[in-house]
Order: sequence, then structure tokens, then C-alpha cells
Amino acid sequence: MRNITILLAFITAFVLAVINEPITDVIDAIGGSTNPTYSTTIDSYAGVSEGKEDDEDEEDEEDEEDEEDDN
Amino acid sequence: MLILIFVSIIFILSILLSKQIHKFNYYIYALAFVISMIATGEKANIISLGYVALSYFIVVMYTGVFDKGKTKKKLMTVRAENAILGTIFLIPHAYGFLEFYLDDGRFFTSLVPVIGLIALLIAIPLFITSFRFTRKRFTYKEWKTLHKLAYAFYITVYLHLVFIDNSRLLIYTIIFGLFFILKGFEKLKNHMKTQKKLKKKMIY
Repeated sequence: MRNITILLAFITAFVLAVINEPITDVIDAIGGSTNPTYSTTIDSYAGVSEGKEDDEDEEDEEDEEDEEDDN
Repeated sequence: MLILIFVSIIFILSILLSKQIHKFNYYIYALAFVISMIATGEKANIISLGYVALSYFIVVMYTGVFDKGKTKKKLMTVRAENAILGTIFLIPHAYGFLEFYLDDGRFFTSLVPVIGLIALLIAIPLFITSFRFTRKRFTYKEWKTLHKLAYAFYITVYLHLVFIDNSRLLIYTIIFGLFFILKGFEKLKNHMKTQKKLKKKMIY
């Protein structure tokens, strides 16, 4: 009886997990990258910058400035 | 989902390879330790995030509440091994996050690292006394009493997960909640049995 209860509970948990967690995030996590599903404060822990600003935009701006200076 | 996948893998391996795991346990510990050391570092991974350790502890936890039978017998054979492996895989998680929170100076600003540290401190004596050579130094009663600390460990682990407060909280609540309900029923049943026995003895 207890075994069946445990099995049912784990199936329910699995269904809930499938609904809440995108499968791509699970694959990402196994592959070693963090994502919204599998992160806590891990982004800063791993040395990734946080916030809404995108580093790539800054780099692009710097490149544009460099080009202007060259001209 | 990741944790449930790991739990399923550990559960299946524990049943299928219980004899082998029990026989070659020290080799497996060594391998797990090497993997843990590799996983310890600044890069986040499934081990340093604590998923593997948690999965092992869930299997260890549930081993105690299964119905008596072949499944329970096989799981009981490797219960100590699974607990030791869980603690070995806990090292990268504990080390990584402790370093992060202490470096960052935010250790006491959140309950997550504090409760995590308490869980780790509870896990240490359980880990040491789970090895066969240390187990022999205790009487069964002493060892059993000490290992009641495991319940405190499970509670602190659950609280640690509650304070992380992510989208998996409901799943964690189902897993830990069901365990404590089943364990509670078991204790109640045993208590009633002993009471019955005592009553019978009194009558005779």
C-alpha cells in the first residue's frame, strides 16, 4: 500500500515538474549551463553578470566609438 | 524534474546493483570523491547546485518507509552507501556556496545559507558513523539513537529548500511531506502495537 502511495506521489510530482519546468532547461542543466529554472543565486556565483543590461550592447557601443576615433 | 530523474536513476541502480554497490563500496566512494573534486569550482553544475546530493538523500529517506519486501530489502542493503555518496556529492555544493556567501558578505542576510550550514553540520556525524568501521564502535542502540539525527537533517534540508523559494517548492513539499506522513503513521502503528503487547502482558 505504501509503495503504491509513494509511486503515485512521485508520478504526480513528475507531472507537475513537466508542467512547470521546460525540458530544454533540464537538458541545459545537465549540460552544465544555468537558466531561469535551474538557478538560485548561481549566476553571480558562476561569475555571470546580472541585471537587465546586456554586456554585448556595451561591447558594440565601444566598437562603434573605436571606429569613430579611427575615422 | 532533474531531481526526480536522478532519484529514479539512483533508485533503479540501487535495486539492480545492490550487491555490487555493497561489495565495491569503497571504490565507488573514491570515484564519487574524484567526481566531486572535479565538480568543485566556480562553474555551476548539477553537482555543485546540490541536485545529485539531494537525490541521494531522497532515496535514503524513502528507503525507510517502503513496505517490507524485496524492494525494501535491496534498498536497505545500500542505504548506508547511498547516504555516504549523498554526503560526498554534498561537498562541492557546500564548499561552493559557503565560499560565495562568505566572500560576498551576505551569509547572515538570508536564511538559506544559515540553514544549509546547519544541515551540513548535522550531516557530518551521520556521515562518519555510516562507514562500517566506525559503526562497529557503537552498540546498535547507540548508533540508532545517533541516527535519529537524520530526521533533523531532513527537516533542515526541507527548510533550506523552502527558503530558496523557487518554482519547485510544491514538488519538494510533496516529496518531504509524504515522507513525514508515512513515517508518522509507521511510528503510530508501532506505538499502538507495543501498547497492545503491554496490555496483554498486564492481563497475564
